[in-house]
Amino acid sequence: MILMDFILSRSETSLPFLLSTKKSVNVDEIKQKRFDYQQTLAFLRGKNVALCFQSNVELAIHIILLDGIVNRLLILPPDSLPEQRKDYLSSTDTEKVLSDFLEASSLADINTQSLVSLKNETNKIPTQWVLTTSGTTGVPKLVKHTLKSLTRTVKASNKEHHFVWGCLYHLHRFAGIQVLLQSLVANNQMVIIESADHLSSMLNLFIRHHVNCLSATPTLWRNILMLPKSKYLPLSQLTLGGEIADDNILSALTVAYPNTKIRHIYASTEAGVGFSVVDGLAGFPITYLNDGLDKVKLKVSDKNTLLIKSTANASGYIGGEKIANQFDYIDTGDVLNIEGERCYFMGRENGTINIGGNKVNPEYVEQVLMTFPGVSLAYVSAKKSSVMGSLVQCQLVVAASFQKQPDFIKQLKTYCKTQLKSYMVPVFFQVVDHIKLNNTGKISRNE
Amino acid sequence: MNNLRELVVTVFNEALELTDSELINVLEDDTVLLESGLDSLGFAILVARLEEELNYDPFSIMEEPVYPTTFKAFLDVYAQYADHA
Repeated sequence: MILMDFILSRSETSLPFLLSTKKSVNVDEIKQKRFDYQQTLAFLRGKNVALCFQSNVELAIHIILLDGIVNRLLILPPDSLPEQRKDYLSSTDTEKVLSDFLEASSLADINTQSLVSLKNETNKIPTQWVLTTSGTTGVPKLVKHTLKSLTRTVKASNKEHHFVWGCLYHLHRFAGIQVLLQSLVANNQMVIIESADHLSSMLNLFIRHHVNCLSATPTLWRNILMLPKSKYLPLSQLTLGGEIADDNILSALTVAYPNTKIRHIYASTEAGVGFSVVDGLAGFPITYLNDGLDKVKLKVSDKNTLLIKSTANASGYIGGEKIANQFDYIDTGDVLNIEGERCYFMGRENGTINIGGNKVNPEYVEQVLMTFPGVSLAYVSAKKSSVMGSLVQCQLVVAASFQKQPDFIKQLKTYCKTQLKSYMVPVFFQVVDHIKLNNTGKISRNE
Repeated sequence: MNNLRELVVTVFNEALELTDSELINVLEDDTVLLESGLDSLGFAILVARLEEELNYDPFSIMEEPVYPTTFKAFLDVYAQYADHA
Protein backbone atom coordinates (compact mmCIF):
# COMPACT_ATOMS: atom_id res chain seq x y z
CA MET A 1 0.00 0.00 0.00
CA ILE A 2 1.05 3.57 -0.59
CA LEU A 3 0.08 6.54 1.58
CA MET A 4 -2.72 7.65 -0.74
CA ASP A 5 -4.38 4.25 -0.27
CA PHE A 6 -4.58 4.81 3.48
CA ILE A 7 -6.03 8.29 2.98
CA LEU A 8 -8.64 7.10 0.48
CA SER A 9 -9.77 4.30 2.77
CA ARG A 10 -11.02 6.81 5.34
CA SER A 11 -14.79 6.99 5.61
CA GLU A 12 -15.07 10.58 6.89
CA THR A 13 -13.90 12.48 3.85
CA SER A 14 -14.68 16.03 4.97
CA LEU A 15 -13.13 15.77 8.42
CA PRO A 16 -9.57 17.19 8.39
CA PHE A 17 -7.02 14.50 9.11
CA LEU A 18 -4.25 17.05 9.43
CA LEU A 19 -4.42 20.53 10.99
CA SER A 20 -2.07 23.32 11.95
CA THR A 21 -2.64 26.89 13.13
CA LYS A 22 -2.71 27.98 9.49
CA LYS A 23 -4.09 25.17 7.35
CA SER A 24 -5.97 21.92 7.37
CA VAL A 25 -6.55 19.15 4.86
CA ASN A 26 -9.23 16.47 4.43
CA VAL A 27 -9.68 13.51 2.08
CA ASP A 28 -11.83 15.44 -0.43
CA GLU A 29 -9.20 18.16 -0.73
CA ILE A 30 -6.36 15.69 -1.32
CA LYS A 31 -8.40 13.88 -3.98
CA GLN A 32 -9.06 17.20 -5.68
CA LYS A 33 -5.38 18.11 -5.62
CA ARG A 34 -4.45 14.76 -7.08
CA PHE A 35 -6.95 15.30 -9.88
CA ASP A 36 -5.78 18.88 -10.54
CA TYR A 37 -2.15 17.80 -10.78
CA GLN A 38 -2.53 14.48 -12.55
CA GLN A 39 -0.44 15.60 -15.54
CA THR A 40 2.29 16.90 -13.27
CA LEU A 41 2.27 13.75 -11.20
CA ALA A 42 2.56 11.67 -14.37
CA PHE A 43 5.55 13.81 -15.34
CA LEU A 44 7.20 13.19 -11.97
CA ARG A 45 6.60 9.45 -12.14
CA GLY A 46 9.80 7.48 -11.54
CA LYS A 47 11.88 10.60 -10.90
CA ASN A 48 13.98 11.63 -7.88
CA VAL A 49 12.24 14.52 -6.16
CA ALA A 50 13.22 16.63 -3.16
CA LEU A 51 10.77 18.42 -0.87
CA CYS A 52 11.79 21.54 1.04
CA PHE A 53 8.85 23.12 2.86
CA GLN A 54 8.40 25.56 5.68
CA SER A 55 4.75 24.63 6.09
CA ASN A 56 4.32 21.21 7.67
CA VAL A 57 0.85 20.74 6.20
CA GLU A 58 2.07 21.54 2.68
CA LEU A 59 4.95 19.13 3.16
CA ALA A 60 2.56 16.40 4.28
CA ILE A 61 0.28 17.01 1.28
CA HIS A 62 3.20 16.65 -1.11
CA ILE A 63 4.45 13.51 0.62
CA ILE A 64 1.01 11.94 0.25
CA LEU A 65 0.71 12.94 -3.42
CA LEU A 66 4.18 11.68 -4.36
CA ASP A 67 4.57 8.47 -2.39
CA GLY A 68 4.14 5.57 -4.78
CA ILE A 69 4.78 7.80 -7.80
CA VAL A 70 8.36 9.05 -7.52
CA ASN A 71 11.43 6.86 -7.35
CA ARG A 72 13.06 8.73 -4.49
CA LEU A 73 11.64 11.31 -2.12
CA LEU A 74 14.21 13.43 -0.28
CA ILE A 75 12.80 15.42 2.61
CA LEU A 76 14.96 18.44 3.38
CA PRO A 77 15.06 20.69 6.44
CA PRO A 78 13.76 24.14 5.41
CA ASP A 79 16.58 25.78 7.35
CA SER A 80 19.44 23.92 5.70
CA LEU A 81 22.16 26.23 4.38
CA PRO A 82 22.26 26.51 0.54
CA GLU A 83 25.65 24.75 0.34
CA GLN A 84 24.38 21.86 2.42
CA ARG A 85 21.24 21.66 0.32
CA LYS A 86 23.33 21.47 -2.86
CA ASP A 87 25.26 18.53 -1.38
CA TYR A 88 22.09 16.69 -0.47
CA LEU A 89 20.59 17.21 -3.92
CA SER A 90 23.64 16.01 -5.80
CA SER A 91 24.25 12.95 -3.65
CA THR A 92 20.66 11.82 -4.21
CA ASP A 93 20.60 12.60 -7.97
CA THR A 94 17.58 14.79 -7.39
CA GLU A 95 15.89 15.88 -10.60
CA LYS A 96 13.25 18.22 -9.22
CA VAL A 97 12.88 20.26 -6.05
CA LEU A 98 9.44 21.22 -4.76
CA SER A 99 9.17 23.95 -2.16
CA ASP A 100 6.83 26.56 -0.71
CA PHE A 101 9.52 29.21 -0.39
CA LEU A 102 12.28 28.50 -2.93
CA GLU A 103 11.74 30.11 -6.31
CA ALA A 104 9.97 28.38 -9.19
CA SER A 105 9.42 25.14 -7.36
CA SER A 106 5.74 24.53 -6.85
CA LEU A 107 3.76 21.79 -8.55
CA ALA A 108 2.09 24.53 -10.58
CA ASP A 109 5.46 25.67 -11.93
CA ILE A 110 6.06 22.38 -13.70
CA ASN A 111 5.24 22.82 -17.36
CA THR A 112 3.83 19.63 -18.77
CA GLN A 113 2.39 21.07 -21.96
CA SER A 114 5.51 20.44 -23.98
CA LEU A 115 5.45 16.76 -23.19
CA VAL A 116 4.24 14.60 -26.02
CA SER A 117 2.25 11.94 -24.31
CA LEU A 118 2.58 10.71 -20.82
CA LYS A 119 2.09 7.04 -20.31
CA ASN A 120 -1.01 6.32 -18.37
CA GLU A 121 0.69 4.13 -15.81
CA THR A 122 -0.90 3.27 -12.54
CA ASN A 123 1.57 0.87 -11.02
CA LYS A 124 2.73 1.80 -7.55
CA ILE A 125 6.41 2.53 -7.30
CA PRO A 126 8.10 1.51 -4.01
CA THR A 127 9.31 5.03 -3.29
CA GLN A 128 12.55 5.34 -1.41
CA TRP A 129 12.28 7.92 1.35
CA VAL A 130 15.44 9.80 2.28
CA LEU A 131 15.65 11.75 5.52
CA THR A 132 18.44 13.84 6.95
CA THR A 133 19.87 13.10 10.34
CA SER A 134 22.55 14.64 12.49
CA GLY A 135 23.98 11.16 13.00
CA THR A 136 26.38 10.26 15.76
CA THR A 137 28.83 13.07 15.11
CA GLY A 138 26.52 16.01 14.59
CA VAL A 139 27.54 16.17 10.93
CA PRO A 140 24.42 15.76 8.79
CA LYS A 141 23.87 12.50 6.92
CA LEU A 142 21.21 11.05 4.66
CA VAL A 143 19.35 7.90 5.65
CA LYS A 144 17.33 5.76 3.24
CA HIS A 145 13.98 4.26 4.21
CA THR A 146 10.92 2.74 2.63
CA LEU A 147 7.35 3.31 3.71
CA LYS A 148 7.46 -0.26 5.00
CA SER A 149 10.53 0.30 7.17
CA LEU A 150 9.17 3.59 8.51
CA THR A 151 5.78 2.14 9.47
CA ARG A 152 7.08 -1.01 11.11
CA THR A 153 6.38 0.36 14.59
CA VAL A 154 3.02 1.91 13.72
CA LYS A 155 0.18 0.53 15.81
CA ALA A 156 -2.81 -0.60 13.81
CA SER A 157 -6.04 1.33 13.78
CA ASN A 158 -7.92 0.98 17.06
CA LYS A 159 -11.64 1.32 16.45
CA GLU A 160 -12.50 1.88 20.11
CA HIS A 161 -10.32 4.91 20.56
CA HIS A 162 -10.20 7.99 18.43
CA PHE A 163 -6.61 9.12 18.62
CA VAL A 164 -5.67 12.71 17.92
CA TRP A 165 -1.89 13.11 17.71
CA GLY A 166 -0.18 16.36 18.57
CA CYS A 167 3.16 16.90 16.86
CA LEU A 168 5.70 19.45 18.01
CA TYR A 169 8.37 18.35 15.55
CA HIS A 170 8.83 19.62 12.02
CA LEU A 171 8.01 16.87 9.53
CA HIS A 172 11.49 16.70 8.03
CA ARG A 173 12.63 15.10 11.26
CA PHE A 174 12.44 11.37 11.84
CA ALA A 175 10.32 11.92 14.95
CA GLY A 176 7.86 14.08 12.98
CA ILE A 177 7.55 11.55 10.15
CA GLN A 178 6.87 8.82 12.70
CA VAL A 179 3.93 10.76 14.14
CA LEU A 180 2.61 11.62 10.65
CA LEU A 181 2.72 8.02 9.50
CA GLN A 182 1.22 6.74 12.74
CA SER A 183 -1.76 9.03 12.33
CA LEU A 184 -2.20 8.49 8.56
CA VAL A 185 -1.84 4.71 8.56
CA ALA A 186 -3.91 4.12 11.67
CA ASN A 187 -6.78 6.38 10.58
CA ASN A 188 -6.15 9.00 13.29
CA GLN A 189 -6.03 12.79 13.23
CA MET A 190 -2.93 14.91 13.60
CA VAL A 191 -2.42 18.46 14.86
CA ILE A 192 0.96 19.89 13.99
CA ILE A 193 2.99 23.06 14.56
CA GLU A 194 4.04 25.55 11.97
CA SER A 195 7.58 26.78 12.63
CA ALA A 196 6.73 30.24 13.88
CA ASP A 197 4.27 28.96 16.44
CA HIS A 198 4.88 29.66 20.08
CA LEU A 199 4.49 26.71 22.44
CA SER A 200 1.68 28.54 24.19
CA SER A 201 -0.42 28.93 21.01
CA MET A 202 0.33 25.32 20.12
CA LEU A 203 -1.11 24.17 23.42
CA ASN A 204 -4.25 26.20 22.70
CA LEU A 205 -4.60 24.44 19.35
CA PHE A 206 -4.00 21.03 20.91
CA ILE A 207 -6.57 21.61 23.63
CA ARG A 208 -9.13 22.94 21.17
CA HIS A 209 -8.79 19.85 18.96
CA HIS A 210 -8.71 17.39 21.86
CA VAL A 211 -5.20 16.10 21.27
CA ASN A 212 -4.91 12.97 23.38
CA CYS A 213 -1.50 11.64 22.26
CA LEU A 214 1.57 13.82 22.45
CA SER A 215 5.22 13.14 21.88
CA ALA A 216 7.93 15.64 22.80
CA THR A 217 11.47 15.94 24.12
CA PRO A 218 12.01 16.13 27.89
CA THR A 219 12.98 19.79 27.43
CA LEU A 220 9.68 20.53 25.70
CA TRP A 221 7.76 18.63 28.37
CA ARG A 222 9.40 20.76 31.07
CA ASN A 223 8.24 23.83 29.18
CA ILE A 224 4.74 22.42 28.72
CA LEU A 225 4.46 21.83 32.46
CA MET A 226 5.40 25.47 33.02
CA LEU A 227 2.32 26.64 31.11
CA PRO A 228 -0.79 26.60 33.33
CA LYS A 229 -3.13 25.53 30.52
CA SER A 230 -1.17 22.30 30.06
CA LYS A 231 -3.46 20.71 32.63
CA TYR A 232 -6.29 20.90 30.10
CA LEU A 233 -4.62 18.53 27.65
CA PRO A 234 -6.87 15.44 27.59
CA LEU A 235 -3.94 13.05 27.21
CA SER A 236 -4.45 9.32 27.16
CA GLN A 237 -0.84 8.72 26.20
CA LEU A 238 2.35 10.73 26.15
CA THR A 239 5.81 9.94 24.91
CA LEU A 240 9.25 11.38 25.63
CA GLY A 241 12.13 11.04 23.19
CA GLY A 242 15.18 12.65 21.62
CA GLU A 243 16.98 13.30 24.88
CA ILE A 244 17.75 11.48 28.07
CA ALA A 245 14.57 11.38 30.19
CA ASP A 246 15.46 11.79 33.85
CA ASP A 247 13.46 10.71 36.90
CA ASN A 248 12.49 14.32 37.66
CA ILE A 249 10.57 14.94 34.46
CA LEU A 250 9.07 11.44 34.49
CA SER A 251 7.68 11.81 38.00
CA ALA A 252 6.48 15.35 37.29
CA LEU A 253 4.53 14.05 34.29
CA THR A 254 3.13 11.13 36.29
CA VAL A 255 1.78 13.60 38.84
CA ALA A 256 0.45 16.03 36.22
CA TYR A 257 -1.25 13.34 34.13
CA PRO A 258 -2.18 10.51 36.48
CA ASN A 259 -4.47 8.73 34.01
CA THR A 260 -2.08 8.88 31.11
CA LYS A 261 0.10 6.12 29.74
CA ILE A 262 3.67 7.43 29.81
CA ARG A 263 6.53 6.00 27.86
CA HIS A 264 9.96 7.22 26.90
CA ILE A 265 11.60 6.06 23.74
CA TYR A 266 15.20 5.43 23.01
CA ALA A 267 15.73 5.60 19.26
CA SER A 268 18.84 5.45 17.19
CA THR A 269 18.34 6.82 13.69
CA GLU A 270 21.60 5.17 12.70
CA ALA A 271 20.50 1.75 13.82
CA GLY A 272 17.04 2.48 12.47
CA VAL A 273 15.48 1.05 15.57
CA GLY A 274 14.66 1.77 19.16
CA PHE A 275 12.71 0.59 22.13
CA SER A 276 10.39 2.07 24.69
CA VAL A 277 10.25 2.04 28.46
CA VAL A 278 6.84 2.14 30.13
CA ASP A 279 7.58 1.72 33.82
CA GLY A 280 7.86 5.46 34.47
CA LEU A 281 11.51 5.28 35.51
CA ALA A 282 14.60 6.70 33.84
CA GLY A 283 16.90 4.40 31.91
CA PHE A 284 15.79 0.85 31.18
CA PRO A 285 15.65 -2.44 33.09
CA ILE A 286 18.66 -4.75 32.88
CA THR A 287 16.34 -7.48 31.59
CA TYR A 288 16.37 -5.66 28.23
CA LEU A 289 20.10 -6.40 28.04
CA ASN A 290 19.82 -9.94 29.24
CA ASP A 291 16.66 -11.11 27.51
CA GLY A 292 16.37 -8.69 24.59
CA LEU A 293 13.10 -7.28 23.31
CA ASP A 294 10.71 -8.07 20.50
CA LYS A 295 12.83 -7.56 17.37
CA VAL A 296 15.64 -5.81 19.24
CA LYS A 297 18.75 -7.19 20.95
CA LEU A 298 21.05 -5.14 23.18
CA LYS A 299 24.62 -5.51 24.34
CA VAL A 300 27.21 -3.33 26.04
CA SER A 301 30.56 -2.65 24.35
CA ASP A 302 33.98 -2.52 26.01
CA LYS A 303 33.66 1.24 26.06
CA ASN A 304 30.33 0.97 27.96
CA THR A 305 28.35 2.06 24.93
CA LEU A 306 25.06 0.51 23.90
CA LEU A 307 25.16 -1.96 21.01
CA ILE A 308 21.91 -2.68 19.25
CA LYS A 309 20.72 -4.95 16.48
CA SER A 310 17.38 -5.54 14.91
CA THR A 311 15.56 -6.85 11.88
CA ALA A 312 13.67 -3.58 11.50
CA ASN A 313 16.34 -1.35 10.00
CA ALA A 314 16.75 1.60 7.77
CA SER A 315 17.99 0.53 4.35
CA GLY A 316 21.28 2.26 4.86
CA TYR A 317 23.13 5.52 4.46
CA ILE A 318 23.49 7.19 1.11
CA GLY A 319 27.23 7.04 0.65
CA GLY A 320 27.38 3.36 1.37
CA GLU A 321 28.42 3.35 5.00
CA LYS A 322 27.48 0.39 7.06
CA ILE A 323 24.31 0.47 9.05
CA ALA A 324 22.75 -2.08 11.37
CA ASN A 325 21.35 -5.20 9.82
CA GLN A 326 20.00 -8.37 11.30
CA PHE A 327 23.45 -9.91 11.55
CA ASP A 328 25.50 -7.12 13.08
CA TYR A 329 25.31 -5.15 16.24
CA ILE A 330 25.78 -1.43 15.67
CA ASP A 331 27.43 0.86 18.20
CA THR A 332 24.99 3.62 19.08
CA GLY A 333 27.72 5.73 20.68
CA ASP A 334 25.55 6.25 23.76
CA VAL A 335 27.33 5.61 27.04
CA LEU A 336 25.60 3.46 29.66
CA ASN A 337 25.95 3.22 33.40
CA ILE A 338 24.60 0.06 34.99
CA GLU A 339 23.44 0.37 38.59
CA GLY A 340 21.98 -2.82 39.96
CA GLU A 341 18.91 -3.75 37.95
CA ARG A 342 18.86 -0.55 35.95
CA CYS A 343 20.82 0.88 32.99
CA TYR A 344 21.11 4.65 32.66
CA PHE A 345 22.13 6.76 29.68
CA MET A 346 25.07 9.05 30.43
CA GLY A 347 25.47 10.93 27.16
CA ARG A 348 27.37 10.56 23.92
CA GLU A 349 30.76 8.85 23.82
CA ASN A 350 32.19 11.36 21.39
CA GLY A 351 31.19 14.39 23.40
CA THR A 352 28.31 15.40 21.15
CA ILE A 353 26.14 17.80 23.11
CA ASN A 354 22.38 17.27 23.16
CA ILE A 355 20.53 20.59 23.30
CA GLY A 356 16.85 19.85 23.77
CA GLY A 357 17.03 16.96 21.29
CA ASN A 358 19.32 18.73 18.81
CA LYS A 359 22.84 17.36 18.50
CA VAL A 360 25.81 19.67 18.53
CA ASN A 361 29.31 18.57 17.61
CA PRO A 362 31.72 20.64 19.74
CA GLU A 363 34.57 20.36 17.25
CA TYR A 364 32.41 21.72 14.46
CA VAL A 365 31.47 24.76 16.54
CA GLU A 366 35.12 25.26 17.51
CA GLN A 367 36.12 25.33 13.86
CA VAL A 368 33.54 28.00 13.15
CA LEU A 369 34.68 30.09 16.13
CA MET A 370 38.27 29.91 14.97
CA THR A 371 37.41 31.35 11.57
CA PHE A 372 36.58 34.62 13.31
CA PRO A 373 39.51 37.06 13.32
CA GLY A 374 41.15 37.18 16.71
CA VAL A 375 40.10 33.76 17.98
CA SER A 376 43.30 31.70 18.30
CA LEU A 377 41.84 28.69 20.01
CA ALA A 378 38.35 27.65 21.03
CA TYR A 379 37.10 24.93 23.33
CA VAL A 380 33.40 24.14 23.21
CA SER A 381 31.76 22.03 25.87
CA ALA A 382 28.44 21.32 27.51
CA LYS A 383 27.32 23.23 30.55
CA LYS A 384 24.89 21.08 32.47
CA SER A 385 21.42 22.52 32.67
CA SER A 386 18.73 21.15 34.94
CA VAL A 387 16.23 22.65 32.52
CA MET A 388 17.53 21.76 29.10
CA GLY A 389 19.98 18.93 29.67
CA SER A 390 22.88 20.97 28.36
CA LEU A 391 23.81 24.41 27.11
CA VAL A 392 26.73 25.22 24.81
CA GLN A 393 29.59 27.10 26.40
CA CYS A 394 32.98 28.00 25.03
CA GLN A 395 36.36 29.12 26.24
CA LEU A 396 38.40 31.28 23.89
CA VAL A 397 42.00 32.25 23.61
CA VAL A 398 41.88 35.64 21.95
CA ALA A 399 44.82 37.38 20.29
CA ALA A 400 46.06 40.30 22.40
CA SER A 401 45.28 43.00 19.85
CA PHE A 402 41.66 41.89 19.61
CA GLN A 403 41.08 41.59 23.33
CA LYS A 404 40.80 45.34 23.66
CA GLN A 405 37.96 45.58 21.13
CA PRO A 406 34.90 46.58 23.14
CA ASP A 407 32.26 44.54 21.28
CA PHE A 408 34.41 41.54 20.42
CA ILE A 409 32.19 38.91 22.01
CA LYS A 410 29.03 40.53 20.68
CA GLN A 411 30.40 40.56 17.13
CA LEU A 412 31.60 37.00 17.51
CA LYS A 413 28.14 35.96 18.59
CA THR A 414 26.51 37.72 15.64
CA TYR A 415 28.98 35.97 13.34
CA CYS A 416 28.16 32.58 14.89
CA LYS A 417 24.47 33.14 14.21
CA THR A 418 25.20 33.46 10.48
CA GLN A 419 27.27 30.28 10.39
CA LEU A 420 25.51 27.96 12.80
CA LYS A 421 22.04 26.78 13.61
CA SER A 422 20.63 28.70 16.56
CA TYR A 423 20.95 25.91 19.12
CA MET A 424 24.65 25.50 18.22
CA VAL A 425 25.57 29.09 19.00
CA PRO A 426 27.39 29.13 22.35
CA VAL A 427 25.44 30.74 25.13
CA PHE A 428 28.37 31.42 27.43
CA PHE A 429 31.67 32.85 26.28
CA GLN A 430 34.75 32.95 28.47
CA VAL A 431 38.06 34.43 27.41
CA VAL A 432 40.97 32.52 28.93
CA ASP A 433 44.75 32.69 28.82
CA HIS A 434 45.22 29.15 27.60
CA ILE A 435 43.35 25.93 26.87
CA LYS A 436 44.73 22.63 28.07
CA LEU A 437 45.99 20.33 25.32
CA ASN A 438 46.70 16.65 25.75
CA ASN A 439 49.99 15.09 24.66
CA THR A 440 48.86 14.63 21.05
CA GLY A 441 48.24 18.35 20.80
CA LYS A 442 44.47 18.03 20.83
CA ILE A 443 42.17 19.84 23.19
CA SER A 444 41.89 17.90 26.42
CA ARG A 445 38.22 16.98 26.80
CA ASN A 446 37.60 15.77 30.30
CA GLU A 447 34.47 13.82 31.19
CA MET B 1 13.73 39.09 49.38
CA ASN B 2 13.94 42.32 47.43
CA ASN B 3 17.54 41.65 46.58
CA LEU B 4 16.60 38.30 45.12
CA ARG B 5 13.82 39.84 43.06
CA GLU B 6 16.11 42.55 41.73
CA LEU B 7 18.80 40.06 40.84
CA VAL B 8 16.35 37.79 39.05
CA VAL B 9 14.93 40.72 37.06
CA THR B 10 18.44 41.78 36.02
CA VAL B 11 19.45 38.29 34.93
CA PHE B 12 16.03 37.82 33.29
CA ASN B 13 16.69 40.86 31.10
CA GLU B 14 20.15 39.53 30.34
CA ALA B 15 18.62 36.24 29.19
CA LEU B 16 16.15 38.13 26.99
CA GLU B 17 19.01 39.99 25.37
CA LEU B 18 21.10 36.87 24.87
CA THR B 19 18.23 35.21 22.99
CA ASP B 20 17.22 38.35 21.04
CA SER B 21 13.85 38.31 22.76
CA GLU B 22 11.75 41.12 24.15
CA LEU B 23 9.57 41.34 27.20
CA ILE B 24 5.94 41.26 26.03
CA ASN B 25 4.56 43.20 29.00
CA VAL B 26 5.84 44.14 32.42
CA LEU B 27 7.29 41.42 34.62
CA GLU B 28 4.72 41.00 37.39
CA ASP B 29 4.00 38.37 40.03
CA ASP B 30 1.42 36.55 37.93
CA THR B 31 3.25 36.85 34.60
CA VAL B 32 3.49 33.38 33.08
CA LEU B 33 7.24 32.91 32.49
CA LEU B 34 7.03 31.16 29.14
CA GLU B 35 4.48 33.68 27.85
CA SER B 36 6.56 36.71 28.86
CA GLY B 37 8.74 36.73 25.74
CA LEU B 38 11.34 34.42 27.26
CA ASP B 39 11.70 31.15 25.37
CA SER B 40 12.94 27.80 26.65
CA LEU B 41 16.59 28.57 25.84
CA GLY B 42 16.24 31.92 27.60
CA PHE B 43 14.81 30.19 30.62
CA ALA B 44 17.72 27.72 30.69
CA ILE B 45 20.16 30.64 30.48
CA LEU B 46 18.32 32.40 33.33
CA VAL B 47 18.67 29.38 35.60
CA ALA B 48 22.33 28.83 34.65
CA ARG B 49 23.25 32.48 35.24
CA LEU B 50 21.40 32.56 38.55
CA GLU B 51 23.40 29.53 39.62
CA GLU B 52 26.59 31.45 38.89
CA GLU B 53 25.36 34.41 40.95
CA LEU B 54 23.72 32.55 43.83
CA ASN B 55 25.79 29.33 43.92
CA TYR B 56 22.79 27.05 43.79
CA ASP B 57 20.28 25.71 41.28
CA PRO B 58 17.03 24.76 43.01
CA PHE B 59 15.97 22.59 40.04
CA SER B 60 18.87 20.22 40.61
CA ILE B 61 18.44 20.17 44.37
CA MET B 62 14.71 19.63 44.69
CA GLU B 63 13.52 16.13 45.47
CA GLU B 64 9.96 16.71 44.34
CA PRO B 65 10.14 18.30 40.89
CA VAL B 66 8.39 21.62 40.66
CA TYR B 67 7.98 23.56 37.44
CA PRO B 68 7.05 27.17 38.30
CA THR B 69 4.53 28.71 35.96
CA THR B 70 4.57 32.35 37.11
CA PHE B 71 7.27 34.84 38.01
CA LYS B 72 6.23 34.81 41.68
CA ALA B 73 6.29 30.99 41.76
CA PHE B 74 9.81 31.14 40.28
CA LEU B 75 10.99 33.55 42.98
CA ASP B 76 9.40 31.37 45.66
CA VAL B 77 11.35 28.34 44.44
CA TYR B 78 14.61 30.28 44.75
CA ALA B 79 13.68 31.65 48.16
CA GLN B 80 12.80 28.16 49.37
CA TYR B 81 16.25 26.76 48.58
CA ALA B 82 18.23 29.88 49.51
CA ASP B 83 20.01 28.16 52.37
CA HIS B 84 21.68 25.79 49.90
CA ALA B 85 23.91 28.59 48.60
